[in-house]
Amino acid sequence: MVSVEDIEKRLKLKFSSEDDKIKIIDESGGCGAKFLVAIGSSQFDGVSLLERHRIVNELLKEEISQIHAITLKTWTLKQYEEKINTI
Amino acid sequence: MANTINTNEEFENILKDNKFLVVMFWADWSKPSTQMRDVFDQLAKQATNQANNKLLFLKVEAEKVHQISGRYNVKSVPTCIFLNQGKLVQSVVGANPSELALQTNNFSKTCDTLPLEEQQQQQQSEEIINKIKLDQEQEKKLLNERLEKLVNQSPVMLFMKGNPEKPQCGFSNKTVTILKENGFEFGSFDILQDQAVRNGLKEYSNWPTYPQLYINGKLVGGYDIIKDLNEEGELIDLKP
Repeated sequence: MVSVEDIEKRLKLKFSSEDDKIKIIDESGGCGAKFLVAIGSSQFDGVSLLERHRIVNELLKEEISQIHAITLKTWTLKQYEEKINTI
Repeated sequence: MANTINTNEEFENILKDNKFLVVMFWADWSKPSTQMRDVFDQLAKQATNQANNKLLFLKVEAEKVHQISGRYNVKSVPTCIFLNQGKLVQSVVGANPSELALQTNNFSKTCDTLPLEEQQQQQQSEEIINKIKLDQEQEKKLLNERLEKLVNQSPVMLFMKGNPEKPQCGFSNKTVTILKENGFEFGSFDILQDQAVRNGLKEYSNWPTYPQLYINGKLVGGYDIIKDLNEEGELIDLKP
């Protein structure tokens, strides 16, 4: 059973700066099977979309193997401000 | 002082319970032999006083117990033989006190390593382990070769659950829809039909989920990335 808190704790290992943004939504109604994860960070500046996702996939390796589905948004801070309200 | 063996039975009994034996063959009519016997006694006393001694020292009058000297092919006196579980390991022939001391010391050191049987077992285990490793490496190499062929099977290659006509998961379905909307011609592979590919490709591309889209043999990403690229108008640029 994976929780929003589990995922957030794991993400904060790398996205620990005050400027970093993290939003996690349990889309499975609380049963921990489907999540939407949006991250805004300057650590994504100049990084390809594929590599950004790999970074997050690596952090959440254990959780991903236990859940049914995950949707990732890996944004720069600017992108996060522009798009976070579209979720 | 070393023990004296007077019968073959006596020797056999000692052999049962002791792995490391040093046996001096001597005869009372041979002066060099009696001298070496005395040196042998000194060595035995010296070794026995050491805390970690594993050696047992035995004296045999060669002409009185023919079975033992015959068994180890002792043809002259003095001769000293070194036995590991009854097997001859080394010997000192003739009256050579320094050589005897040296080889006793060497033998004592080798006894600190694994006994012969255990060494053989360990070597066999290592051989088996190495064989298994080689087999696994070969298997992985073959799988990687297969995966490389698969991802290059078409210029655009989608690894999905089900097939484009009958997708079996939401993300695979949505990916097919996006590709078709953008006029992509693409091949596909149903990972539900092949567990080796399903597991192998995750490692091959360092991507944990499906669908996976490849263009010209390179991973583009999963559904999230394809959706993002499409929304940014960048997906169409990847069309080969």
